Amino acid sequence: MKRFSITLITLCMVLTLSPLMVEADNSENVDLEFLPLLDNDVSEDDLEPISATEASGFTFTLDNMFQATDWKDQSQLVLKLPRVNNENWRNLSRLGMRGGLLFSAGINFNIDVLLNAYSVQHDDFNGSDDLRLDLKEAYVSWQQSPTQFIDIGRINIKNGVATGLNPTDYFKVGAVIDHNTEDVSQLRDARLGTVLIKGQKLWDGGSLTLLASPKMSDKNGRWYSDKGVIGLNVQKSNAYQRSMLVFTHKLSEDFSPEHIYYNESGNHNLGLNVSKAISNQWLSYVEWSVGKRRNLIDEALLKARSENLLSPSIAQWFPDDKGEYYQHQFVMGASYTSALNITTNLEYLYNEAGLSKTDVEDLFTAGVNSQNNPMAQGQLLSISGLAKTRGESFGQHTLFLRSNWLDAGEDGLNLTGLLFYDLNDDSYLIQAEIAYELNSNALWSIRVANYLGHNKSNYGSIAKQQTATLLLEYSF
Amino acid sequence: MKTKFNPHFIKAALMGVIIMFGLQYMDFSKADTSQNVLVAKEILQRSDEIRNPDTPFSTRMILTEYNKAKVTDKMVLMVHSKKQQNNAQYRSLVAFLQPSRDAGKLMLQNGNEIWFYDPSAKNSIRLSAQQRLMGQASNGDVMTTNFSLDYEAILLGETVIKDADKKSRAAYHLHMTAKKNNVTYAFADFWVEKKSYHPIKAKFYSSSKRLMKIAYYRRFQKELGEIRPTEVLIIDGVDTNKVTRMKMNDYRAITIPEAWFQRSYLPRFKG
Repeated sequence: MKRFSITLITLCMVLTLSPLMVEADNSENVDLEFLPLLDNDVSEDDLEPISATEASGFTFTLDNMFQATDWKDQSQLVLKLPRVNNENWRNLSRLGMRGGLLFSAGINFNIDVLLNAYSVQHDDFNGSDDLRLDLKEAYVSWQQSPTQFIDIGRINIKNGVATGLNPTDYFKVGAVIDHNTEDVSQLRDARLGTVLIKGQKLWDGGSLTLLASPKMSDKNGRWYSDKGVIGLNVQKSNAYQRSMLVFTHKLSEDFSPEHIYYNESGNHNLGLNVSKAISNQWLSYVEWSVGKRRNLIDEALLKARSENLLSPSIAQWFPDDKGEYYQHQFVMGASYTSALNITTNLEYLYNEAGLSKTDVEDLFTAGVNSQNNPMAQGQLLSISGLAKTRGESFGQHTLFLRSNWLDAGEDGLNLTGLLFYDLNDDSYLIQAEIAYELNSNALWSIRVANYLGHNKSNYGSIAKQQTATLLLEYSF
Repeated sequence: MKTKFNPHFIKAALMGVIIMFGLQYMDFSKADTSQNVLVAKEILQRSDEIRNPDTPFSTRMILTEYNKAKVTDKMVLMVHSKKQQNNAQYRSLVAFLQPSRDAGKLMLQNGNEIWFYDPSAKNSIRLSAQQRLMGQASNGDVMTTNFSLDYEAILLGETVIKDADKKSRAAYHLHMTAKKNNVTYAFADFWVEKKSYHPIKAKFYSSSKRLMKIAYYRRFQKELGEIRPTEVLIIDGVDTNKVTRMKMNDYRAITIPEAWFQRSYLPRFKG
């Protein structure tokens, strides 16, 4: 019996202690089967100092963008101008260089240049017209201390937390080089900087930035504007005298509002950007701006009115210039990221300076009444053209939806879709894009945009029905 | 010869059975006695000190991604990290050095405030915690998370487990539960070597208990005054064919001004 008891106790100990003290957690060791290359040593190339940035300080990009356009039936358009060139395709090849050189005493020089070569159907290539070097940025930065900086030169200044359109992105007006996408996140890459001087002071949880930008020219045909291959296009970036003060301060963990004061030719503007994480998946944000300015219609027709060239058919519907007054723009939005890596942004955009429902009706009535008057048609089209140049919505109320799926079922495959919906007239713009990273240097993408709605609506009145863009890009 | 019945042996045997089976079926996960929690917290803190330097530091991180044991992608980052004075949480500035297409891109993580800066667009975009988890750079989470701060831990027991090099190690097995909703992974299991407090392995779970990542720590060597892991192998919990090798080298103790951990500084950060 004694032997039985000892055996029993021993058996119990073996049974009970084994999971605690010996290598019994075998299920955990199964995970080792997933590991590759454990028997091989680390290859030496992993240990090389291999950054392109570290080595040269410059990144080069070579890309080619081919865009085909399907036009709407001219006879169905209310607003139209005689087409100069019935091109159905255009091509843009670009070579870009971006980087910086670090000098002593905290001084560095930054440059971002882009050489563009355009070719258009039915138009022979002409070097002086079809080649252009854009100096997007070129500035010297001086770091006075780890928290104080002064920059001088041509610099891209961008503000705003929204994804669709940014009311507080004051320096965007007129600065876009090529409007070949409807995705603002892509347009930000195709934009000229502004010649300015900027000082910035940072402290724990906050910063203050002050900048001043002179008026240099608002005229075309000069070497410093758009004349020649190396025209600096300062008429796009420095047509007005401007200054800006940006103050950010951390009020609590995860909440650092950005306050902006912006002055353009004496007109005051105030801006605010706030964002807040609601959860790991949800972000919310608000972007707001108020400033003294004309509404879109009056600003677009200002020159015609001042020169008494405003067509009577337009003057009938838009008789008075309301002048400059304080007008609001804001965006309220939220983003959600799913476990599948799909990020969706939904935003409501309000633009007080945009067209109301009545304005849109009047605009197209004026259009119908001036079908045989190219000057009047041009004046009416300049209103939507101005909205595009200013980077703001044409109508007063717009919904924006953008969804982006990274690594969509396969590594390197990215899908993006976006929608602008004009709540005034139920017209909309949709754009879908497939992008695939061939390797760490090269990618291709196909982008298709459709402009839909009845012919007396914002997007329905656009002459393009559909565009398809093929992009090939190589970075080195 | 007939053995004499001895009631003392029977009593002893039964007692043994009760004690041993009691031990076996005692659920350590529910044994959150203050003693257990204190021990677990101590283990976690000691391991945190090994995983992350206490002083502000920078390190170059080489991320190699494998799919079915073949290299599919490679990325080089420069990480600047600093422990926050008031809550001991790490904040990081991450510069993308390679590939060329991503060179100059930056990411700032300051608690739940995450910003991504693209030099080509000259623009900062705010990211949600979930967005940060996209791509290889997200694996930095596994390194610079302060476990003892983010998680409540209990000691499940002591065990012997194989490390990434298939060597058996005596280890503490901790189960961790996130203290707040905004912590990246809601639950984790963590194995820490008994004698050295070196991290051996961790498994990270979502709030729905879905396995998200398995991390193996290896290649321990002296960096900034402590023997630390300089390589982490991270297995994707959803698709176990995907493995990321994260190598750290060129550790440096540096000065990082507090003012740098904000969106306004991102365009100036050179990595």
